[in-house]
Amino acid sequence: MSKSPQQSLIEQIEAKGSIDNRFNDPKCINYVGENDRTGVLSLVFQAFDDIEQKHVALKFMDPSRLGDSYRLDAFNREPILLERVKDKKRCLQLITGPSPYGWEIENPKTTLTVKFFATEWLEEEVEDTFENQQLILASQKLKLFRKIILAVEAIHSANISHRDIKPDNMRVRVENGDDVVVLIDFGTAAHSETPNLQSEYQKSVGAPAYASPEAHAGLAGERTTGYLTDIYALGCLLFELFNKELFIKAVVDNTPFERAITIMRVELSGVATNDLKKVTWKEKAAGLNNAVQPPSILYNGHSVPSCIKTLLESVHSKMTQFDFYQRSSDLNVIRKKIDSAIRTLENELLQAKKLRDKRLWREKRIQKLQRREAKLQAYLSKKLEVNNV
Amino acid sequence: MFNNDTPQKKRDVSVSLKNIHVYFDDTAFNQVSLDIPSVLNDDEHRVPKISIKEIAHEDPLNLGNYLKKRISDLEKKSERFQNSSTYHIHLANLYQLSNDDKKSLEHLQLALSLDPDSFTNNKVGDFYIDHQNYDLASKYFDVGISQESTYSCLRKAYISLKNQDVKSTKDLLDQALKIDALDYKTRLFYGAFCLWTGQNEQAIRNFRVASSIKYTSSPLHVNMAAAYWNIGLTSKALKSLQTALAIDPTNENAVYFISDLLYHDQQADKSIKYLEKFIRYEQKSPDAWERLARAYYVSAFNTESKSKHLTNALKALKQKIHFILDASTLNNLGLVSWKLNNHLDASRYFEKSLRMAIQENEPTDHIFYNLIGMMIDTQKYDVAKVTSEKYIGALDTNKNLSIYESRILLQNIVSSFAISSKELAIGNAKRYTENFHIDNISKLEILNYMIYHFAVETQEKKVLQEKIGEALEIINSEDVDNDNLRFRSLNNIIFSYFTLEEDKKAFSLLPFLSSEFHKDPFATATLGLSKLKRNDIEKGKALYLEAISLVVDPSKKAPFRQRMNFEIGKKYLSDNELLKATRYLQKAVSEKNGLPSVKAVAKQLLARLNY
Repeated sequence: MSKSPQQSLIEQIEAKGSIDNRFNDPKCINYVGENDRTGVLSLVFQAFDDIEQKHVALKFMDPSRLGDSYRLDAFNREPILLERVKDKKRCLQLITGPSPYGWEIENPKTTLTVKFFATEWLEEEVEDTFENQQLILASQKLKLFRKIILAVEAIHSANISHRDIKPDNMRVRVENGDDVVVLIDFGTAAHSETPNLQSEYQKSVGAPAYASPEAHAGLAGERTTGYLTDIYALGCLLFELFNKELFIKAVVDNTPFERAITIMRVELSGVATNDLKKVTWKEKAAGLNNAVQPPSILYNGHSVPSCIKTLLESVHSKMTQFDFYQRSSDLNVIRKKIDSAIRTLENELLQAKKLRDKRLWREKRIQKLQRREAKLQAYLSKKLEVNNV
Repeated sequence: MFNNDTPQKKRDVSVSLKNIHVYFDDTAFNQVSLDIPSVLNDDEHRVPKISIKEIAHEDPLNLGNYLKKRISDLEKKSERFQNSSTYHIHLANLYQLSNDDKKSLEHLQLALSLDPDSFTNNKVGDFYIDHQNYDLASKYFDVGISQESTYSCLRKAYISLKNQDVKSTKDLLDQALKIDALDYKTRLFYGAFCLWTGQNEQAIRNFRVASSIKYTSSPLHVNMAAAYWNIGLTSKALKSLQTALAIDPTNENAVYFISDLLYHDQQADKSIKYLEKFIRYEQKSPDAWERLARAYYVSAFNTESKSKHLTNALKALKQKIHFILDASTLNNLGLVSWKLNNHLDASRYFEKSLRMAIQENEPTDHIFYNLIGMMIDTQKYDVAKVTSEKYIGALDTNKNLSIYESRILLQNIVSSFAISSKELAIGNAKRYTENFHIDNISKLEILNYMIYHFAVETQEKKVLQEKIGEALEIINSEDVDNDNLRFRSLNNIIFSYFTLEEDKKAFSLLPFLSSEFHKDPFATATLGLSKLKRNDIEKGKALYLEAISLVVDPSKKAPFRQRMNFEIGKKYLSDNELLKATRYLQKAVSEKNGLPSVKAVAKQLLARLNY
């Protein structure tokens, strides 16, 4: 059986053991077999950079998609976007690229050029907090969420929207002694001033479970709403930090929400430009706003502490509004509210500790009194015995 | 004065009846609902029924490939997270969304073994509910109930409700209320349950509490409307439905309910805005197009822009046939085209409708009724007579006729009378009223024709008495809720009694007509006649003149004038004032558009005076 293009490229890179005499010992990390591929756009290798003396991630264009101009453009766009956040805090750093790589093909014997670029290698994931959330304190979850907001704010400040925010696409890096969250995989990210790669977007560009309603309805390519799509995804993450249920499951169970997406998709399908689509959206979605409430963070079995229930419910609801015109648009405000929730929790912890200490002190005091009383009683009864004698 | 003018029966665009769905939960899948028969359902025994709605999933979010990829990603991390209940719940969620029930249950059980809290027990219970294994599901909800979970109580109540076990459902709901009296879902469920058990006031109370917790639920306000409507508070029901539609203009259940309710309340025009708004979002609903057509059609007759409304009704029906082409819609199209005076199109639609109804073995009576109605309206009486006779020929005399079949009998009498086949018409009328099981309203209409014939044309006293007796029996029964027909028939009977010189009987019935005096020209003329009978000629004449002034159509004033002159002439004749009698009778004979039968009798009287 002949090898797939991906297999052929991976084997060649791994066999040669070095790329450009700089990146050594490359190992593909996202290809196990044809039926089990986690990267649909690219092949990612871990390699050791001889110059920087650290591990790097090498991202190659998927060789089977070289004829797909949309995928090719998306791949080429990624290092350009990373260049824009070069040396920016909380942002993934591009090491080098895009660079050409000569892929030697056996039959017909020829060499094809495949592009790749290198970014810093970040090992630590944030997924543990999501998958083990029953073990994590609410304040810790909110602190992580705050870091995620800061990471998103960092790329938004460079006018880039990520459009595929999910736990998989986050890593932790130590900056000035602090753990910070960094967003990775800019395959679907876009700069506000770059043109669309497609004229029509039928579905969301990132993971559909975290994609916003407007992205599902045909506005996935719209640059001016990209940051709102990111905010919606952040709302999904906040939900999943405090619920064992996945947000997408809650959306699918929320019949009006799902139906509204279908309605808006039909409404926008015949509209020619994104500007007109936004006008249509504004007009039609306004009528649905009352009916289509996003799943509440206080879902069945949630673990939101009661002292921050109201605050978190309101923040979450504003972040996941169906209509992007109604959605929170200021991450700074959201972050401040999360800060306030963290403070409330910490105060409550502090208060609980004070109460616990006070209770312990009271118990000790009571015990001491009881001991003294017993001692006195013993003394008196002893004295009485002596007197009787 | 005899009123022989059978008004054209009100015809409306017919719609298929839609039940009102009262939901016990406004979010969940596999929704159990209480189906209350439509507002327009005339059945006296309107029993609400529990039904389960299966909501089809269309995957509008394109989750298919994503789910596969996500499951594969997570499965690879099992070593890291195998001891986490969240991890297994996530995988159970993903497998459930990708319809792999076996794997979903496997992970739920793993989650349960790690964390047997009420949430996980409820998840397993929900799984078994989805798979109709209610006994097993109950077991898991029992654990939740022991941990004071309202959700567990409600899910178990759902199972009891499905089994129509009123007592257990109530006990579980009471338990849920005890845990949290301000739980929105519990109040909603309790309200719907009360509706089912006929406790409408309690239902309203529960819905009101629910709305104070969460106001923005459209199904909640529909439930509230159903409760209000059940106790006859139509205006409150309408307000609740307006709220439901303000919250969600795409709520199909609410839009059909309000449309039917407004139609029932004779305010169909007000439903147009709701239907128009609904159709902006949901263009593929034939039931909505049909109701929009009905609203435009009905309101057309109460507005100055009649043709515009009728045209809109036609457009709506044409939209409907993009989705469903059936005999009923074609019949509706025929009806609207007829009212737009497009008789050719109307005939074509009726013809197609008939053909389709016969093919599909559906009733044709209402189509024939409309078709013959149009023939009469366009004065094609002979065709109407032949068509109705053909239809009547196929009717079974042993069965109860439908309203439309009964009306076709009446249409046959009307068309026969119109083409002067009076003897034949009376023969048929006798046959129809004696041999067929027809509804009382149509029978009374036919009796009116017979009374007119025997009182005015042939003056057969005995038969007339018999027919008046039959008519009075129907008028006194509760079947006739049509005031117009009741007064018209009474007026004719009183007039007939005066004609038969049975003044005592006529005077005894006269007070029942009092509400129509000075309003209705026929009743006013009859009152005038009564004054003549009481020798008050001046007053009688004045009332006749008032009756003439009440007639709107100038061409219809002549018979009144003729009757006035005839009756005054007769009166003077009986008083032996021959000169005056001759003058008035001469006027009755010379009335240009007067009735020939009156002319003939007046001539006979003049002949007796040797005029």
